[in-house]
Amino acid sequence: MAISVLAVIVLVLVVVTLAAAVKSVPQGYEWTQERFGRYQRTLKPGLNLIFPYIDRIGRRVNIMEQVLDVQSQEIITKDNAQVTVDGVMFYQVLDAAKASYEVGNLNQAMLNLTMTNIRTVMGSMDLDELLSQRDSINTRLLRVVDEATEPWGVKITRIEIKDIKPPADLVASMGRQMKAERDKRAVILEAEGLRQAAILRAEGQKQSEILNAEGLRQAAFLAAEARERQAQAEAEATRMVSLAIDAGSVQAINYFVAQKYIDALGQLATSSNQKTLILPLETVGVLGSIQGIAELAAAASGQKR
Amino acid sequence: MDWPTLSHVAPWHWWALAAVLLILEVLVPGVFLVWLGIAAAVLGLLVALLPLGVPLQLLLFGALSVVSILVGRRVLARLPHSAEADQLNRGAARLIGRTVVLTEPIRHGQGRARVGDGVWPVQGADAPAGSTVRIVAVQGTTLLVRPDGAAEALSPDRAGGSEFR
Repeated sequence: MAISVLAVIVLVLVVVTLAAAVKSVPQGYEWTQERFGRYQRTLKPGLNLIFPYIDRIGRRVNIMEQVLDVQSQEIITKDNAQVTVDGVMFYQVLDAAKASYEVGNLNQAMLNLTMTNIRTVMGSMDLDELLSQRDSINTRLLRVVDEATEPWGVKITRIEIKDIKPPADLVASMGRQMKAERDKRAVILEAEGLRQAAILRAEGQKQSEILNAEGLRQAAFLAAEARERQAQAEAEATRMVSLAIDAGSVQAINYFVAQKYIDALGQLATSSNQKTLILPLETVGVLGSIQGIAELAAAASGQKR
Repeated sequence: MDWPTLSHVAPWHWWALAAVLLILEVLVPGVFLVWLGIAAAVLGLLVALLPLGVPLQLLLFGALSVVSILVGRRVLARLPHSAEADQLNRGAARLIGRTVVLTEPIRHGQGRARVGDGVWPVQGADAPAGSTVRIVAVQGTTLLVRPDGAAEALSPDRAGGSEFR
């Protein structure tokens, strides 16, 4: 009977021992094994046996890539703007032993390191740079934090700044600045258009005036030429008349004058204006000219004789 | 209906125990009840074949549990497992064999190289920035490199063996 009790106790001991010795590590984790509290080795995923009683499982380390949210914090930029920034970081434990024993609280350590470095990097930039150069901020952050976490067996694969929120009044000012910028451009464009139009109009005016003047000049030239021609013709006619007089006698002229004279008289007589006052002409003159005609006729007949 | 006592245990008791253990194994996380179940099933067979006293049976049960684990591990190690499993969670070891470009020169054996979209610290023979090196081994987060062309792979870091081999 006693031996049976002993056997039961032994069996229980065996079962407990097995429970302590057989460790199956799930994929994506690595467990550290401690012998009397001292780190011994790292258990890989799968079925593992450890020495019962003297070995313990120390830390269960997640070796998958993980995401940590960097909570939002207030940052003062180089040009004294206060912005609220938050971010996200991705990291992976590459050395389970180092991540377990080289650093007390890995997540907290990494978060604090990242947050202080975000302050450092962003504090050295002004607001416009901050909003436009996220890429370089991420790169600088990653570099610093990654180097700092090397001794902890951790690889920081990515740090991204998620949101940069300037205070509301600053955002409003930025909006106003943007609007003013656009307005300025619009006004400048309008003025430019007006200027161009005015220039074009003036050009047109100038051209038309030039053309006008040219027309007038040509016309004047032509008119002068015409006068010249007329004068020449008159001179020619006068010369011919004087030649004719030279060849004949003065009476020829008298004939012409008389003819005109009488024509004029006839016109005055047929004038519809009855009030026309006919000044008495020198009848003698008229008769004289008639006489001249008679003399002409006589001379002509005399010559015939 | 005969319940097992300290003076009499029938083979079917062991088989019932084996079934209960296997059921528990499925329901409760932690892979160690399966070995006890296997031991109980084998012991049931032995009890059916040989006349054994109850204390001896109990001790045998304990012994068989240990044996089943040791044998089970061997068998499992022999079984082919998928190649994909070996490619998972290898940390930096997955980079071994890749050629990378130095972003900073290696001076006094220390430098940095661009791998994918990240930058890793490297150790190796001195080389100027921009030169190509091949990753031959990994130490924690540091990559051991040698100039590309001298592609003589070092053995990767120690395999975690068991103390029970």
